[in-house]
Amino acid sequence: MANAYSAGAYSAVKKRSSWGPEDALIVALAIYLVLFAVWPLARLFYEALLPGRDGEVLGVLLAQWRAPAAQAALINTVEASALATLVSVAIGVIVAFMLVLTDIRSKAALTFVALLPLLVPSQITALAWIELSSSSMLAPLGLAPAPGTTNPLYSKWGIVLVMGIEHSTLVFLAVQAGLRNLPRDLVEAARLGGARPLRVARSVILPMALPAILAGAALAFVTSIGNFGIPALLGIPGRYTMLTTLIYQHLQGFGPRVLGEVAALALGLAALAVVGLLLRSIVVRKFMSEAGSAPLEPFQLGRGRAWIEAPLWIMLVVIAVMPLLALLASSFAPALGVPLRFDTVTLANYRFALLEQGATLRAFGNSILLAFTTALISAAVALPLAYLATLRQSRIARALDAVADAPYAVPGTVLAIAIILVFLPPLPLLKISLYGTIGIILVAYLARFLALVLRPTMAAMSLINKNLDEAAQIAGASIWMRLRAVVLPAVSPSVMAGALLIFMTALNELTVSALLWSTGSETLGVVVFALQYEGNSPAAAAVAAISVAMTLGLAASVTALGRRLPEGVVPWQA
Amino acid sequence: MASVSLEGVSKRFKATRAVESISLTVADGEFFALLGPSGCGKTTLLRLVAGFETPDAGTVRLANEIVGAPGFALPPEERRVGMVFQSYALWPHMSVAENVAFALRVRRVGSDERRRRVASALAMVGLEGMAKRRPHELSGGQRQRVALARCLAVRPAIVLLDEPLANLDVHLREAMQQEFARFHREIGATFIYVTHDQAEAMALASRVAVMNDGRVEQAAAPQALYREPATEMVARFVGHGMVVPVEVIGREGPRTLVDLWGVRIAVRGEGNAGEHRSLCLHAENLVLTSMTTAAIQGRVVASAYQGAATVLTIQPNAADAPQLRVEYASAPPAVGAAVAVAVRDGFIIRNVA
Repeated sequence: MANAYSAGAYSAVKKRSSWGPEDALIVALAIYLVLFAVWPLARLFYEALLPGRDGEVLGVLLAQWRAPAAQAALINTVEASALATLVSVAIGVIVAFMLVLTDIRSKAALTFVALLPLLVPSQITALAWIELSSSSMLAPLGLAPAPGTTNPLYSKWGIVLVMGIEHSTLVFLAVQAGLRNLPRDLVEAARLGGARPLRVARSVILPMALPAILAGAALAFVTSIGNFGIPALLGIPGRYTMLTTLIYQHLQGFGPRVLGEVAALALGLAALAVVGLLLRSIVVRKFMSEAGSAPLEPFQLGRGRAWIEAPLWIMLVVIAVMPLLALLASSFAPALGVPLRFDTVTLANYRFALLEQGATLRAFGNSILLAFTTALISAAVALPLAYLATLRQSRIARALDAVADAPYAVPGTVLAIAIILVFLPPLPLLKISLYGTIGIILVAYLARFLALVLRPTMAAMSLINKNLDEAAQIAGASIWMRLRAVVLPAVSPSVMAGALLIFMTALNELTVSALLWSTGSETLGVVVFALQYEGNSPAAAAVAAISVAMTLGLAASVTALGRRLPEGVVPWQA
Repeated sequence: MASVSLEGVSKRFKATRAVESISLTVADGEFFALLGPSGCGKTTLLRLVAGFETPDAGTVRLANEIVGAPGFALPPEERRVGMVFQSYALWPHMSVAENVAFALRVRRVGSDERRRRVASALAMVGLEGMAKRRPHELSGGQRQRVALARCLAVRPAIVLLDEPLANLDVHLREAMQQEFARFHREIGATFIYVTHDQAEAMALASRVAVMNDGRVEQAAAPQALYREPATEMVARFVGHGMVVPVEVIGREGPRTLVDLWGVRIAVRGEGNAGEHRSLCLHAENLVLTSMTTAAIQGRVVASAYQGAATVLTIQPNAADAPQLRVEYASAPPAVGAAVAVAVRDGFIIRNVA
């Protein structure tokens, strides 16, 4: 009798428990990532690899890449990105070596200035440099271009310079982290061996920092390849076409019917990025050591200190602060080319941009809405995903976590094309297409930015003892209650930082929205680009100045959270 | 009726067999210990009972109901057991009182009743004044008490303890052992206590299962484990037993006569004449003697002063003989001295070696 009773209880419970809420959650997350990440990217591959009209194997791909314009764009992309990477490495290495290895003063302020380019979106950096190079600020130095001539920045070398400066922060952060991990005893051994500081830096520190430099360079290269804002603002007027701008111009000119061809171009762009990222991961895996012993003791510069500090300050101010000042000045100038004096200062550009042009105000609304929604939804997805991948050790969740990196790793242009391919046809059941609405931008942002909140959430989650969750389980708490009452409080600073990072990045996003926007769904990035394109650069400067101010405010709030976060969560606090 | 019973339970993690075909029954209200070296599977067994793991084979029953079987595990949150973790697992963002109240809140216990039960659980572990503190403001021993209070507040019928004292220093450990014994007496729940410390297991539990390599070597009362170990592993693990090879000669009254390195001794345990068996000896069974016959001849190789006694390590002269440990209360012979050891007692391990 007892056996019969037990068997009955067993099968009754079995029915109830074989499909738990945890499984349902995993399925929901899998659907989310397949829909927004896997399917679009797979679809891009599929479209790009289709046979041509005449049935030629890989016809679409070959037809596109046979075109001279595509080949020229590819060469330009590799050339400009490689040269820009050299600029980034030069700046990043110098600044990192000075900040970590010497006893120069006000390191916090120098670090902040060095990292400014990271916070300013690339289309605004480009705009700021245009303003600087054409502004009256340069006149006293005799550097201002003569009236009537083309701005020299509208060229390959302009792109190389601005892109190199924009991405120097990536090299700086990588090298800084690498130098901080160098074992101190190796340097001390060299000094005991009689080597002077400069010799130690050249013969011991530089070779040991090489993997970090290479890793940072690879990242700068990949980011340059995918950059759209700088080639768009400098290269389009300068007739120097790169892959991102070629794809943009194709799609602008011919519309969605050339999607297959554009996909073939995008695949080439993605392949370049993958090569760069593979190189980087090899360097990181093979040569980078884990955190070493005590950090290096900075070298004493002695009486020569000011002679090092002054050039460093001048360089950083010129590359990071002056362009922004020029931008600000231009936004207060009455018209293009009119020198800014106290009696000519005007708020007319702000008034025009904010009040007289419907698109700009709409763009503020759209970008804030998009950034907020993306941050909120991504945080809500990242929390359970990271929980299942770390504390519950779900293999599916760990695979999904890896998948979430892909849409952020590929260039934004590639992702945008992939999203159009999937979401251009009307949605099943609803019979409406997301294309041409703000919805398609939201979908693309959800795909692209999940990684930004997932990384810090995973980092924080992996520091939690599994027992904390299990103790709540023993106490009888369901998975929802545990996520809310036990897991979230433990990781909330990191989730919050990740969400703010998404908000900052999405607020000024241009690459993806440039391909997806339509009248009514303009974003801030698009409006800055369009105003400049139309020749209204004072208004573009005004809008850019407002977004830079908002970004810096957000960065300050992330920094304030920084003290409560695991190491490496805030990118500019490595 | 909150018995715990396992029937043929196995659990693998990839290539390693954590738990291999274990059958055990813990009676309602019993204090049961799972004892073994690290990696023996005792924690996995506890987690199978808690519901964190699903068995690959066999069944887990709580109060006669099947809660775990291949492909099925009633989730821990529905098992209504209490558990104290080695790491204490106190939620750092909650105060002591909130930690203790959490399970009651989950179970929708009314706020008045909740407050009363939190207060009484904290009183029981002697932390009345600490309700508002955060875990990081407490000492290790206090955290241990909070973890216990949190477990007791829900009045579980089954309490699982996973090496709860492993992170405490020696003095606290002894005090907490007495506390555990008191709680068990007072609340009458079934306790399953995982430890690698044989003294702790023997002091607390009414029965102990000694585990090794995913199997139960022997499950018995502490006295039986000590006096009548079933396997060589139990003999060595419990009470620092020594294992030596003997040949059975025959019966002598209630005892069995065996030959140990040519010396005849009478010991406990069964055996047939001519069999080669293993004999378990404890230090207190051995004494130094001046006899030259009926004693094991050897040499002192080490001497360790331990207060009440000095523990001598003696190497018998017989070939391939393992070293013996002998306790000696008065002034010990010097290292290197020749000595004779008489065997007063021993137990023939059942398994044929």
